[in-house]
Amino acid sequence: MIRFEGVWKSFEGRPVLKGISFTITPGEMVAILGKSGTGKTVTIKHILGLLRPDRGRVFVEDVDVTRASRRTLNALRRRFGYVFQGAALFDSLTVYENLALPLKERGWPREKRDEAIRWALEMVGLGGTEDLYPAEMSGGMRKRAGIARAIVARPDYLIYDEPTSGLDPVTADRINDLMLYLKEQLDVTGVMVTHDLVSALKVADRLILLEEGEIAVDIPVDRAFEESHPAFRAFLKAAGLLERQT
Amino acid sequence: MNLLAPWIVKLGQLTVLFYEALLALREIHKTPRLVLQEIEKIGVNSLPVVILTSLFIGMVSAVQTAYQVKDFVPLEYLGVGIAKAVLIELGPVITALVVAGRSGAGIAAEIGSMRVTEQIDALTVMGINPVRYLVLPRLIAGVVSLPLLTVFAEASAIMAAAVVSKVVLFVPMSLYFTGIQMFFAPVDLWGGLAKSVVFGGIIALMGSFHGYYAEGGATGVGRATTEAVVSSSVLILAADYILGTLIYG
Repeated sequence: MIRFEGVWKSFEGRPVLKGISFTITPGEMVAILGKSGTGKTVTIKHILGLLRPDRGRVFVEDVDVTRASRRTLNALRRRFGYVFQGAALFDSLTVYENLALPLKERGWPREKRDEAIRWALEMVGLGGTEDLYPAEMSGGMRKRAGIARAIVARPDYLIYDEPTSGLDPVTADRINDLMLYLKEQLDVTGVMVTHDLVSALKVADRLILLEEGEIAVDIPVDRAFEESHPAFRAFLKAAGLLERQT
Repeated sequence: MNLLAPWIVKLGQLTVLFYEALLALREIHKTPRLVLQEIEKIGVNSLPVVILTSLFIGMVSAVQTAYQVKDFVPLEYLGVGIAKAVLIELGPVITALVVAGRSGAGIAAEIGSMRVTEQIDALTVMGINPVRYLVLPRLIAGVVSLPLLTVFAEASAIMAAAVVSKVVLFVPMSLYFTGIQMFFAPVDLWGGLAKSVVFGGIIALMGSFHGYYAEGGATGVGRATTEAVVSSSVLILAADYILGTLIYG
């Protein structure tokens, strides 16, 4: 379970989050939507203590992330998989070494590491790419390698930051299918940040729309087309989903 | 006060980064391979340019020293003047400035691009201490590599000066080296090497610091690189004065 309680965050005096509160229950996949600059990525960076709120608290299960010691935070972080917007693979390491890094840190023996890496790469359809460097891969492959690194240690939680941004529609759809598949296979609690409503509708159980640093909409995905909030309707319209529905 | 605020913040960040690097020494056993890689990058790969620079420094030292002292001091003592200048001052400082330009910039660019592409965040969320993984190996490599490079630089400069003294100034090599031996004081050597240890730390720390806190994409990385070279060069010269006063004053 992940819980935000009245979280405020400002950068150089400009408020980005204005007291947001929400809870993500175990096994749930929540999509945080919003226009660029509305604080989506800032929100998820609070979950793992990459950012600390000016006010408010963030809980993961019973751990208060905002006050946790470094040791507690590190232990918590190892239960998460985080897929970065640009994949954030280490340029100087091969795909195998990128995936092996978090496992080595956990002290996994070589045999167990190899098995986990093989499994993760198979899951994302990248079997046989162990020796490639990130620079030798396409954007979609890098994204999938980033997902493989996030799942390789079998996390309890998965965070996706703009998983389909910068990808062509076909590759984006493959990533959506992959996220859906992982959700079903791994039974993880997840958060995805996106401005891609099509992706959110396909993968998430619940939608949260951020508007000017506040939660404007928080609804189950099956009520998306009934929602009347103008900002959310604008999202549906921009994605071409209103016309399709009518 | 507003003008000072950013400097105070930077000083605070630098202190925290250095402190965290020292704390990370407890986990040094996890990064021996990274330390060796950095010693190769900072030390071994800098060797050709350091030797090349030192050859010219030695050559010009011979010519300049001869020009300045030839009316007052017999040229038999040429080697003494050159060796003392090279061991105490020129060797450590010139080596440090060359490495600051080469490796300091490289450290800032490498860590800076990792920062702006979220690779440092990726380390953090994996539960890997980024200071231990990125800063500590470079800091150790800087501190280890600089004295070794300085020894090569000093030997190259003294040899190059010996050749110029013989060929251009007609001072026999035996006389040149006898002079050096007669007036050699161990403090000249270890004092210079002690300074180079500090210079190595400055280069690695400033490169790491500016890269670690880089922001603003490619422009930010470029700015971090420039600031790393400028700040480490200034700090090397400032530290040289302070250490010079402490050791030889």
